[in-house]
Amino acid sequence: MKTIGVIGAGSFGTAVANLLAENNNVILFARNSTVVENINVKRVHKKQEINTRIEATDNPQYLTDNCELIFPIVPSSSFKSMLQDFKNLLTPRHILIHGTKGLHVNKKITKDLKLDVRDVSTMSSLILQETSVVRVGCLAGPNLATEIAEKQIAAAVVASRYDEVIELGKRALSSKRFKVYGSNEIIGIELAGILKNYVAIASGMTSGLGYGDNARSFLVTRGMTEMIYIAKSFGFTPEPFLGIAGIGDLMATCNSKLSRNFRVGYYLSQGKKLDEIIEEIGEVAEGVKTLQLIKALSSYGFKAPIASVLYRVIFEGLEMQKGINSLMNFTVEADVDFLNS
Amino acid sequence: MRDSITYKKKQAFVIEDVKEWPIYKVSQDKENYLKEIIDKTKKETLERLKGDDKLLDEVKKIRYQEIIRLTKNPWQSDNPSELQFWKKKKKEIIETSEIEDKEEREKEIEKHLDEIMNLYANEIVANFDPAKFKLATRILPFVFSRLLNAFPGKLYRLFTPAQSFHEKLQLNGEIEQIRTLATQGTLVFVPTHFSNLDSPAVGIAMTGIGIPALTYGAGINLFTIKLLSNMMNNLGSYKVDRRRRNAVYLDLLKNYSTVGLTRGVHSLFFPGGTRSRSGQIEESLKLGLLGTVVEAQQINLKNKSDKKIFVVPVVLNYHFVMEASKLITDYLKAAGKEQYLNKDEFKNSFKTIKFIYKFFTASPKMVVSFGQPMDVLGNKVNEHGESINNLGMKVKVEDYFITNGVLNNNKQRNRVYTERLANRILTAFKENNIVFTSHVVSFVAFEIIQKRHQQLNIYELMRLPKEELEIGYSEFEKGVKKMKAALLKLKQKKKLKLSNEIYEDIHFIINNGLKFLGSYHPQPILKKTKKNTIIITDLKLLYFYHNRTNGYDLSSKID
Repeated sequence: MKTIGVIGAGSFGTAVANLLAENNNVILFARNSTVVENINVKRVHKKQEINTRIEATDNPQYLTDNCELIFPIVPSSSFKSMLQDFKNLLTPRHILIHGTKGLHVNKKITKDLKLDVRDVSTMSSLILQETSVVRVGCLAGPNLATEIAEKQIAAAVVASRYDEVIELGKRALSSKRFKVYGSNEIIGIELAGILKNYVAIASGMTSGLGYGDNARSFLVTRGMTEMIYIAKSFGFTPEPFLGIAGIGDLMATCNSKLSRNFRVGYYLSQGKKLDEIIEEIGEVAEGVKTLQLIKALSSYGFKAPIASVLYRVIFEGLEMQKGINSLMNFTVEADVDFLNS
Repeated sequence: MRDSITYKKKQAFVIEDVKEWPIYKVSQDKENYLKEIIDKTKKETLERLKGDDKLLDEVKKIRYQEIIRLTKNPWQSDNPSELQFWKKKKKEIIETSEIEDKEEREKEIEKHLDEIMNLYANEIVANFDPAKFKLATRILPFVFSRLLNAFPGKLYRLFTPAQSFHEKLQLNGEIEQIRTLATQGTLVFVPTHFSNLDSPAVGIAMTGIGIPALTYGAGINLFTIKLLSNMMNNLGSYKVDRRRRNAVYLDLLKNYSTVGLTRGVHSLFFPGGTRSRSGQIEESLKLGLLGTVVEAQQINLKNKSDKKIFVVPVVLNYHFVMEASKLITDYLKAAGKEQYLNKDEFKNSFKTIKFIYKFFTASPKMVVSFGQPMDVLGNKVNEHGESINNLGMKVKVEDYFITNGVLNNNKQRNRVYTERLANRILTAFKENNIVFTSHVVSFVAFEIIQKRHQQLNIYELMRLPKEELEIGYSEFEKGVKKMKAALLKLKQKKKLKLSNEIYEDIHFIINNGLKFLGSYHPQPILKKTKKNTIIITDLKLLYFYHNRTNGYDLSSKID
């Protein structure tokens, strides 16, 4: 049996390690030695029971020496520093499938920031830039960590330009409760997982304001259209947005109180300030950063009214109701116009 | 910093004994070599066309297409007996398809496939004759340098010591490293492609730096041109018939290259596939032949051979391209279709000689610029042949081909690696492009005209009346100044290379550029007038030469 590596023992990382341990031996890397001890001795971490096939370590080399297939699952904000820790240990023989839905920006985010697309990288591009690894994949889809930990049924996509990476990912992850699809459009799949975050904030907000299901599905559908417009303006196809990592992930995060981004929107609608919310949730929700990046990239000329209204609500003090009114006044020509050309 | 060096003398061959050259060994072992290629292609074809008489359908289709080709689109190069072969095949295939026993039928179909592959392979295969090679390497530079010295009115110079051909040909880049690597592994030279003269030019340049003869695919119709055919027939070039488009033929061609590379034969191919029509350096590459490089490396690893394959990007730089006018017209017509060789340019040896004559009398030089060798993944390699990736870390090539600890063959992965290699080559092309004064003046002049008429598209622009094609000298001068500044910055960032003249003052750049811009063409493309203006006599050609420095974002820098 091959040993598979997981980097990052957050709730999703731990859930993925448990999922992998159903078919494989797993080495789980955590920076914090107390966490390592918890996992190895108490066998419970992040409220999840740890599969007996999992061994935790805080030694990066122990992981890279023993595993060729590795799943890095750490927040986007610390992804680069994690890669730097592993940089000298990773070779082209290693295969990395990450599970991080976020973007890396090589500039400080400020109010008037203008970005070029080259300033922004998805996690897979960051791996290619920072390490010797070339065979890279990503794991995406509606995978709320809590439900995976509860061993509920779920599905995901492993995307990679390399078929063999998809195959390895499928073989490692698939089980009776977890179905894995494949795609070669890795950047599109990553973007779907990233862009959906701000739509989830908007969804939480409408939910908190007391709007009904009609309104919310209206918002989410238009949100998806907007995500596709953005992706297309950078040369990506709509396909990834129509699958598990697109609609699939969107449905889960936009309807679930388990989603961090949904909760941000919900609390905002209840009058809480962003700082308070961040304190309560524990870390920045990815969707807030996504909104800032979309604004900084607006020179690419995509139509994204929801993102722009949401940005004004969160950062410029626009009243929520006024924001919704302006969205209702926005002229649109067609329902679906993104499939051709 | 100046870039180019000139070798006054030809370098010694890195392997002195021609009989030790892989290209010679392969040509001595022709039978086994062809068998290896045919066996490999057969295995792949049978795998591709498994079951349901798919192979029979393929063979029928090939036979049909070949008869059509030979009757509707015959070339002088066609073998007169080939039509007979296919007509006979037609009958035999009908008989085969009537065989009821499946096993027996399949065996018969395979026989047809074997015969077809034999016909193709024997047509493709290159010859290499050391005696003729030696003769050619001695005579060609001699002929060129004689021509070079004997221009009208100065015939007496025929009898004075000739300026060496190798002085005219400037070489730039990692030549010592390439010479070292030539004995450690297999070299694959991938040049930019602007002119039909590129392959002989590269061939001569390689001999100049002492690299054993290269094999390369040349259009079969070139073999009917007297001056070229005898030369090419015995110097290691293999024949490519672009009218044959069936998969079996294409696979044979690819495997011809793959097997040659695994046997250490240094190769040359133009990865752009065809000459640049627009005058711009390649922006995309054909991946088919390039893929054979990746596959050959993987086969070497599988066979535990430590022979590594090194890819060397080459940029050919000159002030003018003989076919420029025709090429740019094709481009503007958006002909799109791959139009193989313009017969009229090379119709007779006289025209070829005239061109070569013009080339060496009119043009001050030609610069062959070699990029740093890379491995098949596009990683740069050092003088020991070790791969160094973008992060400056040493990497092992085999690691890219190992999955779960096992070295395996994976076609899809190879395709992605080939795309990666192609991207690295394209970047290297840009970085090793040498900007000449003629490129500067043409870029500036064209940009000025284009900016004056921003509302016009390129086709409308081409129809501008003569009166519109005049630029004030001071405006022109300002543009050249700005372009020079931008070029120096790019050079500092190693985004391109500059010819020595670019470091001179603005007037020198302009005068030198005007003098050499398209010096082959019947009339100068840009002319300085007595009223202190610059007039453009051929906007299309100007556009062609302008495009050479496209893709560096220079347009915005010379406003």
